[in-house]
Amino acid sequence: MKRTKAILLHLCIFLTFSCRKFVTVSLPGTEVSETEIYSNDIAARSAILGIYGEMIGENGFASGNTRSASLLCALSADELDTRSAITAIREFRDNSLDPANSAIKDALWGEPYKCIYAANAFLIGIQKSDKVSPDVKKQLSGEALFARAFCYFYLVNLFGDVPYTTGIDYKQNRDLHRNHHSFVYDRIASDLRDARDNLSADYINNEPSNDNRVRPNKWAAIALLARVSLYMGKWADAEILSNSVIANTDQYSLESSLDEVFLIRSREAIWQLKPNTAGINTWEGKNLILTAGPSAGESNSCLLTADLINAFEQGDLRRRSWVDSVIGPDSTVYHYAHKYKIKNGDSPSEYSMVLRLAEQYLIRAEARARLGDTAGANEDLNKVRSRAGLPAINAPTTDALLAAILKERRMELFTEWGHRWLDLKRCGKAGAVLQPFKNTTRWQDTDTLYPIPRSELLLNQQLAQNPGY
Amino acid sequence: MRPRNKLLSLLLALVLPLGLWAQVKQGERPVTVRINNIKIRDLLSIIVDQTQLNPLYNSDQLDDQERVSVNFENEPLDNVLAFLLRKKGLTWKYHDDTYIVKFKKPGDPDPGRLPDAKPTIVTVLVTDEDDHPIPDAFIIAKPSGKTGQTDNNGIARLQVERNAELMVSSVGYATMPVMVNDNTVLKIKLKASMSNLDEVMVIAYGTSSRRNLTGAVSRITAADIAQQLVSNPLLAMQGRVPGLYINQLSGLPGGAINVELRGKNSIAAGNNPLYIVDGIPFPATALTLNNALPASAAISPLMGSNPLNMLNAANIESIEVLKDADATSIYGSRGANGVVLITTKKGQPGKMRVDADVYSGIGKTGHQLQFLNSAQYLEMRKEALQNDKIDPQNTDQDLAWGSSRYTNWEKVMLGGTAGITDAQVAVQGGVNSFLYRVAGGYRKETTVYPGNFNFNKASLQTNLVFTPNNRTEATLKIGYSNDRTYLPSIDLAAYTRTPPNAPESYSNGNLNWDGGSYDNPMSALLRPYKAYTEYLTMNLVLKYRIWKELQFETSMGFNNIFVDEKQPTPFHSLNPAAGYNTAEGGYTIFGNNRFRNWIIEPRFRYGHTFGKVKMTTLLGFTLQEDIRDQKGFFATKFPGGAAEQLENILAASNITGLGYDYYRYRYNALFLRANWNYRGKYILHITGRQDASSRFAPELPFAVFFSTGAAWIFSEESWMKPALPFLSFGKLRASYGTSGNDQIKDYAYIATRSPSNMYDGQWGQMPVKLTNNQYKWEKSQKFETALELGFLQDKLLFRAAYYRNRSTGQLVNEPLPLTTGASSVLNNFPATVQNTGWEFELNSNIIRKEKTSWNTFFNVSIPRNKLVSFPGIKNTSYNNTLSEGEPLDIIKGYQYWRIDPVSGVYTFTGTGNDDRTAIKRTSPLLYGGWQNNLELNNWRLDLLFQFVSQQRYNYLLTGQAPGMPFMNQPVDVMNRWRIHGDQAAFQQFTQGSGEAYKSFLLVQQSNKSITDASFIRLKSVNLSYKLPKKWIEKARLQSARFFIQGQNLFTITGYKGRDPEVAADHDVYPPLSVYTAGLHITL
Repeated sequence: MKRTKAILLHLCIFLTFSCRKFVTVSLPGTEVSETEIYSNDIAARSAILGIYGEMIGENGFASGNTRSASLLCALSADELDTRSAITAIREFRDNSLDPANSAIKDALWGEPYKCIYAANAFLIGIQKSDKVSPDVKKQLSGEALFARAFCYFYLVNLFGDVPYTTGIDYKQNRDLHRNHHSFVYDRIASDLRDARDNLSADYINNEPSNDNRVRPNKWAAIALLARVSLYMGKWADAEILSNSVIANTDQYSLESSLDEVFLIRSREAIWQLKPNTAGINTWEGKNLILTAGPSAGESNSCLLTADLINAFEQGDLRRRSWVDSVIGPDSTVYHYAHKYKIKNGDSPSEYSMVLRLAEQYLIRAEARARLGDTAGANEDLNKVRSRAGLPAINAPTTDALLAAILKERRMELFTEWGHRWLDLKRCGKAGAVLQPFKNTTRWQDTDTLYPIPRSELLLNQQLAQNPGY
Repeated sequence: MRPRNKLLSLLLALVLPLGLWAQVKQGERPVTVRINNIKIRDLLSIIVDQTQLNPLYNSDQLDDQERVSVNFENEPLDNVLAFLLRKKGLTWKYHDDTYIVKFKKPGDPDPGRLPDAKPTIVTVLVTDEDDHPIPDAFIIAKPSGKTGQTDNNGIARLQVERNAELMVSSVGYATMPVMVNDNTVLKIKLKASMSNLDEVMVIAYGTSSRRNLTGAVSRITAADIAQQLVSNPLLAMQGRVPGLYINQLSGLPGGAINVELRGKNSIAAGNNPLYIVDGIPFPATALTLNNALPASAAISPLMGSNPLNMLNAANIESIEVLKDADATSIYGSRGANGVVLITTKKGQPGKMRVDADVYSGIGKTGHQLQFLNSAQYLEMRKEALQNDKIDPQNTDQDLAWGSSRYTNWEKVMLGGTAGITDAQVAVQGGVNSFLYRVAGGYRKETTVYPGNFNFNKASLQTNLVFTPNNRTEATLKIGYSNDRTYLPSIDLAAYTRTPPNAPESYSNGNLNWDGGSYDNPMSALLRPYKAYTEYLTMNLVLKYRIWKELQFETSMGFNNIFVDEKQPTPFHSLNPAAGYNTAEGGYTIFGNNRFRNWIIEPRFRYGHTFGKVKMTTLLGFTLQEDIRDQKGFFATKFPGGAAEQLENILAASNITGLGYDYYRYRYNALFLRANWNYRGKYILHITGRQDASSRFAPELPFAVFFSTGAAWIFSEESWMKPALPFLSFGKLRASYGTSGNDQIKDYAYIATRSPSNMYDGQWGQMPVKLTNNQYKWEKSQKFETALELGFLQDKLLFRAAYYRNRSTGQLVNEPLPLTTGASSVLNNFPATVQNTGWEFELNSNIIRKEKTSWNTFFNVSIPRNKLVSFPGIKNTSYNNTLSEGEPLDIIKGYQYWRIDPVSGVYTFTGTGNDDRTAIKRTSPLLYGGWQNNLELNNWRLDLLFQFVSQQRYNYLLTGQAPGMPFMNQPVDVMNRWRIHGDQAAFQQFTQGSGEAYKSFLLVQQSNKSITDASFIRLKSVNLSYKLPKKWIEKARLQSARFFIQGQNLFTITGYKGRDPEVAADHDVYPPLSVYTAGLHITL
C-alpha cells in the first residue's frame, strides 16, 4: 500500500510538470510575438513601419482623411467650411465640440495614443534585443522617438495638458493624470534631441533605388524640434535649428514651381507619409478635390472659406496653383484646396507632406523677428513670397513683421496639418480672429482646447475635463 | 471434477479391504451423499455403508424420522455429524466401529466443522435473456458481503457459503437474487429492466444507471433518433431533453443550430457545450469561412453550419447530456456549459445480422406567407410617395411596371418540393471474443428552392471489439464521412420580397434585368455555394485488467475534418447596372478549412468492496491538441468570365487573401473520481480535476475543479416500504461543484503583432492587443437538487430537479481609457451570470403487455437567466445590450406608445435617442416535449410534441418600411393609418424619407419589434407495421417493418412569420414539414 501511494505521488508530480510543458504552445507561424519582432532587422523595421502605416491609414489622425488633424483643425480655424450633415464634423466648424464627439475620441485622441503605445513598445522591446544590428537599432529607435514626439506634439496642442507615458502596462496607463503642457513639451524636445542623435542624415528606403523621404531622418527631427522650440518660445534654438535645415542645401531647397511642391520627389520635402490605400493617391487629394458641389456626407464635404480666398494678394501664384473651384448643381462656385492634384489613381505621384522647407523659412523668420533680426526675418519671409510670385515686403517693426509672418503662414500652409489653428492659438489670436469670422455668439475662448473624450473621463478618474466643456 | 471424485470414493468403498479402511481415522472417513428430504434414519444407514461405523443413540436424543437435505462430497464424517447433531446440542464419541451420540456437556470439544460454513467456489454465468453473456455484472453475496464481477464472458468465480444468497446486478437489468443452495455452478439470466431506472447511462469515463446516479444526466437513444427525419443528431434531441434548448437558425440542410444547455453562462466567451464523440472532443463551432468573414460577406446561407451535421445519426447508439457539476466537473475548464456525450453503435454478439433501412419522401414549407398582390403593392407605393410628398423619380421603376404581371415570389422561391432520401445498411455480429459492426449510410436532401440545390452525405463506419482473453479488451472505431453541399450563396428567402409586378425573369433565355432597374431574383440561382466536407475519425480503447479489482485502460483517437468551400460568382449573374467591370470576369471566394485534434486518456479504474460499501475509483490523465486552420481567398479577373473556370484559382489573375485563422490549442488534465455505494442506499460521488490549457498563460496556477454529489435511495430503507407501499423507488440527490469555461480566443495572453498596414513596400506590424497574462477560465458554481420517484413497480417514474448555476469571473473585454493604447483588454470581470431553473419529467409505461404497450414521456423545463451583477456596465459597450438583473438575451429598445392618430406615425414614450428602457427577453421562458409510443400487435405509433414559450422578432416589422421601393410586404400591412383618426395596426406608408421613415427605424428597435413566438408542434410521427412472423420466415428474413414518418406536421402558434423557431430579424428558410415512407429489414 505504501508503495502504491509512493507511485501515485510520483505519478502526480511527473504529470504536473509535464502538464506545464505540454500546454505551453509556441505561437504559430501566423503570429509574431512582441519579443520575436526584435529578432532581426527586417522584422524590427516592420514594427516601425506599422506606426507610419497607422498614421496614414484610413482612420489615422495624420492621414489627411476626413478625421485627420489637417481637416478638423482647418474647420476649427478659418480655412475650411463644411456641408456635411454629420454632427461629429460640423461640431469642429461650429467650435461647439461635445466631449462625446467620435472624431475627438477615436481620431485625435485615440490614434496618437495608439501610435505612442506602439513606439513605447518598440523602445522597450528593442532595448532587450541583441539580434538587431546596432546601426539599424539606432536608426529605428530614433524613428520611434520621433514618432512619439510627433504624436505628443499634436496631443499637447489640441488638448492642452495631456497624460504622458512611456510605458506599456495598461494597469499603469489606465490611471494616468494629466501632465502640465510644459512638461510634455520638455519630453517632446528631449525625444527629438535623442532622435536627432540616432537618426541617419540620409533617408533610408526599403528599396535603395527609391529616392523617397517617407521615413524621418536626422533633419526631420531637427525640423520638428525647430517647430517645437518656436512653440516653446525658445527663439534662439528655433533659429539655430531651422537655420541648420535651410543650410543643408544638398538635400533641401524650395521647389521653384508650386505644382511640384507635393510631388513624390519634391526637394522641399523633409518628411512625407506614403499613402497605403489602394485606388487613391493622398487622402487630401481624395477628400479636398471637389468634382461637384460639396457632399452632405463625410468625404468631399469641405470647401475653402471665402475669407481664405479673399486673403490672397493680387498675383499670388498659390491662389492659381493651390486653389481650384467647381460649379455646384446650385450654380454656386465652390473653392477647394488643390495642393494635391490627384483625386483617384492607382500609381501614386504625390505623398502626404508633413514637414517641408517652406515652414522652416517661416520658423526662422519668426524666430529672427522675435530675436530682433528684422532684416533676416524679412529676407526669409520674402524667400517664401517670391516663390509665390509676390513682391518683397519690408516690415519695419517686430509687430508688423510677426503679423506678416502669421499671414504668410496662413497663405503658405493652409489645409496642412492644422497650422492655422495652432498658430492662432499660440499667438493668442484665436478669439480675435475667429469670433467675428464665425459670426456666432457661441465662440468662447475655452474653445481653443478640444475636450477630453467623455469616455476617457468615465474610465479614468484621474482625468479632469478642460474648462468650458 | 465432481463425478470423478464420486467414482473414486465409490471405488474406495468397494475395493478397499476392511483392514485398510480401518486405518483411516473414524472421524475422517469420507461421506458422499446428495439427497433431498431424507429421513435421518435412512441417512445414517447410508453413512454406515460408507464408513463401516454404526451409530448408537436413543430416541430422546434424536428423532430419526426428521427429514433433512444434504449435499456431501467426500466430507469427513465428523463434519457430517456436526451438521446433523451440533444444533441439537449433541456430540459424539468413537468406540471401535461405533460412535455414541450423547448430550454435550460444558467443556466437551466440538469435533468436526459445519460443512455448510465451509466456503465453496461457485462459478456464476450471467447472461441476458438471449443467452448473451453480460460482462461487468456485479455480484454481492449475503450475508458475508463478498463481491465479484463477471468477466467478458459473463463468468465470475466467488468463494461463498453454500447457503449464501447472491444479488446479481448489472446496469440495464433488473437486480436478481439467487440462492446458492449448494450449487457450484449457477446460470443466471438477467431480465432487461422494465423501467428505464436501470438502463445503462454513459457518463464521463464510464457507465452508470439512473438508479445510482448522483448527478443530472439525460439520454436519448438510437430508437428516439430513428423516429426523426433529421440529418443532424442534435435536432433529434429537440423537445426530448429537459434543460437542453435547441433551435435551428435556418431550416436549410446543414444549417446553423443554437444549443443552450441550462441557459447562457457567459457574456462574451462561448456558450457551447463540450461535445465528445466516442471519447474524442468534437468541434462545437462551424468550420466555415463564415467565421473569418464579416456577416455581410457570408460565404454560405447556413449562418455557420453545425459541425455535428457530419455525424451519421443512424450510427448513434445514445446521446447523453451531462448537466450538473457532479456530471461535468470532471471535464474541468471545458465543462461549464455542460457536456454532450455521443456514443456510436457497436456489434452485438451472435450470428451475422444485416440491417437495412431506407426511407424517402418529400418536404414542403409548412406556412407560406401571403404578400401583397400587384395592385396592392402599387397602391402601397403610390400612397407612400404621396405621404412623403415626393413625386415618383425615374428610379421608381417598380411603378412603371404596372399591375399587369403578378408573381407569387413566396411560391417561386420557397414553394418547391424538397426531396429526402436516406439509406442505411449495417452488418454486425461476432463471437464472444470478436464483435464487429460495419455500417454505411447515404442521405440526400434537396430544397424547396427553385433549381437543383442539394445536400449529400455518405458515411462509412466500422466498430470492432476484440477480447482475446478475459483480461484484455480492445475497441477500435474508424469512421469516415463525406458531405457535399450545393446551395445558393445567400438564402433565397430574402427574394420572396421581390415586387409582385416584377417583369419576366428571363428574356430570350437570358436574365432580364429590365435595364438594370432591379436585382433579378433568378440571378441568385447562378451564384452557388459549394462545400465539400470530409471527416475521418479513429479511436482505439484498450483495457487490461491488471488484477481482479484494478483495470488499466487508455483511449486514444483523432478527428480530421476538412472543408473546402467555393462561392463562384459568374459575371452574367450580376446586375449590369451595378457598374461591374466586365473585364474582371466574375469572382470566386475560396475557403480552405481544416480541423484536426487528437486525445490520449490513460486511466486506472479500481473497484473494491469494503464490508457493505462498494467503492469504485478512477484516476486518469488527458492530453489533447486541437488545430484549426482556415484560409480564404478572393479571386477575380478570370478570362472572359467563363463560368466553367471560376473554380480554377489559377485562372484568376488577381488573388487576395480574404481571411486567415489559425490556432493550436493544447490541454491536459489529471482527474480523479471516487464513488461509494453503501448497500444501494447511500451513494457518495466525488470528482476532481486539475487542468491546464494553452488558452491561459503558463505562469498561472493550475485550474482545479471539484464536485461532490450524494444520493439517498430512501425506498431501500426498510421502514419506508410499509410506510409508503405505493412507492417502488425514491431517491433524493444533490450535488455541488465547479467547472470552467475556456471558450476564448487562443494566444490572447501573448503580446503579438500582426500585419496592419503596408508602408513603403513592406507590411507594418502593429501590436494587436494589450496583453494581460493574468486572466483565467470563467468559473461556474453549480448546485442541483432533485427528487426521483417510482410508482407501480417503477412503471411510473417522476423526476423534479432544481438547479442554480452561477458563472463568475466573466471573460469580457474590460474597457480601458485610450491612453493605454487600446480600448479594452481581455480580462476576468467581476460580473456574475446566474442560471436557475426547474425541470420536470414524467415517464410511464402505463400499459406493458405482450402485444400491447403504451409508453409516454413528458418533460418541461422552466429556465431563468439573469445577469446578477456587472459593475461599471455603464462605461462599457455591453450597456447597449445588457442590463443588470435581466437575462443575457434581451433586446433593449424604445418604449412603444402608439400610432399617433394625427400624424399617423409610431410614437414612443420617453425622450431622446438613448432612452432604451424597454426590455424584452428573447430566450425561452418554458419548453419541453411530450412523447408517446404505442404498440398494438404488429403496429407501432410514435408521436412527439414539442412546445416552447418564447418571444422573438415580430415578422411584420423585420423588413424595410412598408412603402419602400422594390420591397414587397405581408398583406397585413394594408391595415395602415391613412387619414386623421384612423385606428390601424401599422403606421402610414413611407418610401424612405420623412418622419414616418424615422419612426419606422425606431419601431424596429422598440419593444414592439419583439412579439410572442410560442408554439406547440407535432415534431414527429412514426407509424410502423411489423410484418407477421410467418411471412418473414417465408422471405427468410429475421424481421421486416414498414413505416411512414412525418416531421413538423403541424404547428400551433400565434406567430405571423413563416416559422416561430427561426423567427429572426430577417427572412429565413424555415424548417420543412417532411413526409416519408420507408422500410427496415433485418437479414
